[in-house]
Amino acid sequence: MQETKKLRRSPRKMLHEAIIMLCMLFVTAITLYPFSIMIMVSFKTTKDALISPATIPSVWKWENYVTAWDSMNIGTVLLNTVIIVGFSLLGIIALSGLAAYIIAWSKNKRFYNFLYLFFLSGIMIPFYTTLVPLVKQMNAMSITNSLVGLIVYYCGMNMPMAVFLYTGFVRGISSEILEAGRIDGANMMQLYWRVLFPIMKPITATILVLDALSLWNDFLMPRILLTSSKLRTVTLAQFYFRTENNNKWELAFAAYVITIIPIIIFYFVFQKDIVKGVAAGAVKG
Amino acid sequence: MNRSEALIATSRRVKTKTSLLEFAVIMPALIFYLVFVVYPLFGGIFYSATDWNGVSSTYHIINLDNYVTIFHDKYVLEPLFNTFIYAILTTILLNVFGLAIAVGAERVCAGKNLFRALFFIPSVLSAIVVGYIFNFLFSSVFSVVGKALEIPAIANNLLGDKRYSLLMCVLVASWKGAGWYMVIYIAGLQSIDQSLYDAADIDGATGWKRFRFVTFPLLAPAFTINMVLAVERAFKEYDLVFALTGGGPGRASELISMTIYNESFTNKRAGYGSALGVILFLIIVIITLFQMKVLRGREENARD
Repeated sequence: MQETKKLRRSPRKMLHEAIIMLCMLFVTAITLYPFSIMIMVSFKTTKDALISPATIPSVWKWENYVTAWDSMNIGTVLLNTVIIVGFSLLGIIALSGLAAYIIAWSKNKRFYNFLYLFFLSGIMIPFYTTLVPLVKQMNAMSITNSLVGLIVYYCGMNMPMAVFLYTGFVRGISSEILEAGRIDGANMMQLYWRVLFPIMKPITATILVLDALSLWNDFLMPRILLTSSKLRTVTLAQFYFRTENNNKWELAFAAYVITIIPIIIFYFVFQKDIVKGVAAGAVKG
Repeated sequence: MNRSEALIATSRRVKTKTSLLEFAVIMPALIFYLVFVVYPLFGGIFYSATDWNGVSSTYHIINLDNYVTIFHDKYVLEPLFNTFIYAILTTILLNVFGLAIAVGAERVCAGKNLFRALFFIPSVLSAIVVGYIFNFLFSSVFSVVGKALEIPAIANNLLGDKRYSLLMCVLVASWKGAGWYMVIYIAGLQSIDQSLYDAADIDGATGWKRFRFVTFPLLAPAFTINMVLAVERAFKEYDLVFALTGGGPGRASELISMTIYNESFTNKRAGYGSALGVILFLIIVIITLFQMKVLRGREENARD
């Protein structure tokens, strides 16, 4: 089979395929080039990094990684970020899923349709418009400079989009599946967790991966809220490491390699969900 | 009370109980949304009519004065202009590159999934890291190459050049974001019915014609999404340009988001910063509605 297929390919078609392959390899090179520079510089001496940045290191300085690891306090930084992202996702998923359940299936259609539009209108509001009162209010609530503050903020900020995605999904499910559960005597919450939540798994995965990426990489709000150096997140550590180690690019890059490894692993593990989520999230948005 | 009346009363009580319960279930989501989005939005609109400095306990209501000032403030108009340029250029480049690598990754004879996976990697990195890597590339690598090849245009750090810094930010943003748009275009490409291509083959359409008359019109939904997404993201951009140039040199690459942050916190003009925030909100809403109208119309045409 393979043989005949190959034989049937005309020279023109093969040329065509070769050109496409070359273009793809060229784009791959452009994509990977900055990473290769980062990795090479991360092993150099300070002098080497500045004088010959684009070459393979003459001496491999593994100590850069030890220095970066120690001075960045990477353990605390990763733990902070995982706590923030984890609890925010938990809050977003739990609350927005329940909200969508009511919006989609309540008998009181007019009222909940209005609430749905009310949530929807929040999607377009830019963070910068809410900035000043938000910080003032969080100061008044004494939740600045704390992980809890950032978590509850993320829950609120990401609620509209999550409610929107969940509602779209639940509306596509026949509510007849509830009747079966009702006959068994399950109450409203039992119905949700036992019957609906498992069915919502695909859209839950979409919301989880999209929000995980955006929260992990968020920079501005942590910068405004978390002033204590003990509370640094990954992006804050990346930012301060650069400003605190001026001109020591090799240390900064060693730190960056360390800090992007978790997100790269996350990407390759959940690649299918992420790709599906990007497409699904976009279609709805 | 007879039997049927009693039944109605019970069913009413059950109904009220259900609707109260329903509202209690949706309440937590609503509270979070009200506290962290809705209330601050109205707060922002309110403070935009004041001269509040962001710290003191008193302020004056100055009505629309902030908005009048904005239109004479060259330190605002320049970033606003930059933001529009940045939005237009990144939207074009992200869609061109995104579509090109989507078509390429679909057509390539081997390693489809590998290419796709690789092209998406820059999208999962933080803009801070990408910004600093390119900061280094521009200052230490590209300029060295430029000097060696004696190309005066890139012999200096382009990020430090007033004329080019914003354009370089656009290029880096395209490098970082193209993979995201590729994924959406690939989803669009895969939803195109293969029989349409067969029909096009029978009509003798090949290569560019096939793309122009079959692929591109049928990608209309993906195109709409990507256009809206790219514009919205560009107007909300902060991190990447902050890490690349910090808005400099001077204000050559400053975006409006950075002006809002600086005015609100660094310059202690919270009222003025809020007014800028409201302007940004209006711009995004108007452009998005306009885009939806035009692009959805285009989708309808493509379907006929």
